[in-house]
Amino acid sequence: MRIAVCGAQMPFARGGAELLMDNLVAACRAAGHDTELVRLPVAWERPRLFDSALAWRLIPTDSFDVVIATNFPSYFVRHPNKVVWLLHQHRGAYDAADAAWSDFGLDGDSLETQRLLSEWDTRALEEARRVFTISEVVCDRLLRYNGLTSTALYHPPPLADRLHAGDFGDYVFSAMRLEGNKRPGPLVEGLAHSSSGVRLAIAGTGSLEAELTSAARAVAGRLDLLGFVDDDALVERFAGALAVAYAPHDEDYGYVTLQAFGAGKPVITAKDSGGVLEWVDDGVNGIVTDGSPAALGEAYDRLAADKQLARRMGEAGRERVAGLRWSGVVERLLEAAS
Amino acid sequence: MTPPFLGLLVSPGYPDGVPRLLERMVRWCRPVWADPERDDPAAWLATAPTAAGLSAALASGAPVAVWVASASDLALAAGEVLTVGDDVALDVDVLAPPSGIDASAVPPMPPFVRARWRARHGLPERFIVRAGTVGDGHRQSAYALASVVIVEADPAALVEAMAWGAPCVTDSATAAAVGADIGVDVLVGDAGDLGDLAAVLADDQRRAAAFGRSARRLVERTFDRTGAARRLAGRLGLVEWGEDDWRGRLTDDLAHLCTPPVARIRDRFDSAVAGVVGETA
Repeated sequence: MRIAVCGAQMPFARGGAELLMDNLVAACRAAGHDTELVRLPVAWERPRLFDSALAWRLIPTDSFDVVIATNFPSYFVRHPNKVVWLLHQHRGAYDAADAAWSDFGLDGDSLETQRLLSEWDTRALEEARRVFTISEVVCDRLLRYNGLTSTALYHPPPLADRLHAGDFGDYVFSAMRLEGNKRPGPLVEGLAHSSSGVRLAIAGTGSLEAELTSAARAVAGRLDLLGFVDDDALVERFAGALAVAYAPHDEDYGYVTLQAFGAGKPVITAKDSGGVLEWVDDGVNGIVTDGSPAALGEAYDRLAADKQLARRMGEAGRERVAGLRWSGVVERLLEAAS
Repeated sequence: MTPPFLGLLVSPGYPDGVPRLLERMVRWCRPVWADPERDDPAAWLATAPTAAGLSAALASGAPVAVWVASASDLALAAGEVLTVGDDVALDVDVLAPPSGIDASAVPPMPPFVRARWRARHGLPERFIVRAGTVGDGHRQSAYALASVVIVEADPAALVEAMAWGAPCVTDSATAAAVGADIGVDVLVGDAGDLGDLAAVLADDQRRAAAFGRSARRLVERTFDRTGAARRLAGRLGLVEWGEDDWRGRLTDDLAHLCTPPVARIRDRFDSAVAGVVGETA
């Protein structure tokens, strides 16, 4: 079968979406299908939002038997066997319209653009033979904003085949972009509410780095800001952690959670962390807090005081993600196209 | 690209709906009076089953549509019906019933955008509108902004509210009159319960979005005059854009995506291609 995996391109940027597309292409090829990755640059500013969508409408796709579209605006591609596996829409126009980074307001132009974008999105997604998403959170957004039903189709996180369990050390680990929506601040403040002496190590870079460095002084050297960490070091950091803390705001999916479970570690999260909660069962494979520093600190201490509990929870997490396979993802997507 | 010819076979006193239909079909074809013995258009439209030349047109092999204006003609339900192809009795579409609407002139408004408009205008979060209680001058705004529209015994109002993508609650007779699928396109209840039902639906963003979308699609499928013309043009083989007619394909696609004539993307598109196709932006 000849397959096009379609996705938006943010020139010179590389993140979770790019990893997902690469892994999907590799999995399709591994399943014996000729597969190409087709990407077009996208502009996110409101006045140019539809440009790339329109460009996708014009792309010739007759060389392919199936197209798999992954994110906005790639699902505007036309093909009789279009299947959508949705990472996200343009969140700045939907659930994040009121976020500081969104350029949508309550002015007439914003509202008409939101209306039209919603209409375009809905119609382009309706064309698909089936719409899958990466998580129930994304399914819920599609239903809430576009009135469309879809199916969550889970996939393994990056490094899944390399993650392994190790000792339960004296640190809680986290990995994230240091940005507001990932909420590293409360994780750090949680240390001040923790009496066990547990440390917190955070891998990643971002605009909050300076702020967090300054916060580190208040927790007397118990915070390690690791900056960029390569894959080898990341795997070992997961392996040696007592637990993983990850409490972003309304995450789409949350690779960190799945990576933690892959390494047999419990996850400490918050009740409004979105897709993370599709995986973390409170008291079973992690701890779901109210997201406050006090509750996070209490969770650190609970696991630091009972490493057997951390081990049991981590093992339960490991079992939870054991069935995730890229081959299964490819199978479901292509079944829907046939 | 020259639009294909649509040959017209007329009978005296054709129904009012015929010119309305042709007005909309000129986007895809050029209607001309024609004689099946002499002319060879891409398709035929007979304005009645008794139109002169219909047998010859059917024999020509080109697709044929026949306008059927009364129930007695085909023993069908009341309303204007139209059939395509050479099996008149088996292949009938309801076309532009009396309560028909031009859906392309009514921009559907999803519930979350309605809520934002209400926030902008300082309207209540839950804003329930009863059809028939709003003056004509404010009706469209009310249907566009409402959390839910309540419609009682007024099929035309229900069609209009649904065209706006409004989540609607109504009585079973009105739902049946417009062919709405209960629980999918509209919510139905007894007259005394409609207010409570509307309040529940207004507070359920997911169901409201699904109802609004489904209702709009019902209008497009069944009551949209332009959509009916487009479907007919498609059935007659008049909407098969040539390989080189990318502008036609795109124009059609913008319509499919429900893009208003004033949308900024149309200007951006015109501006982008002006230099390469010798047109001025």
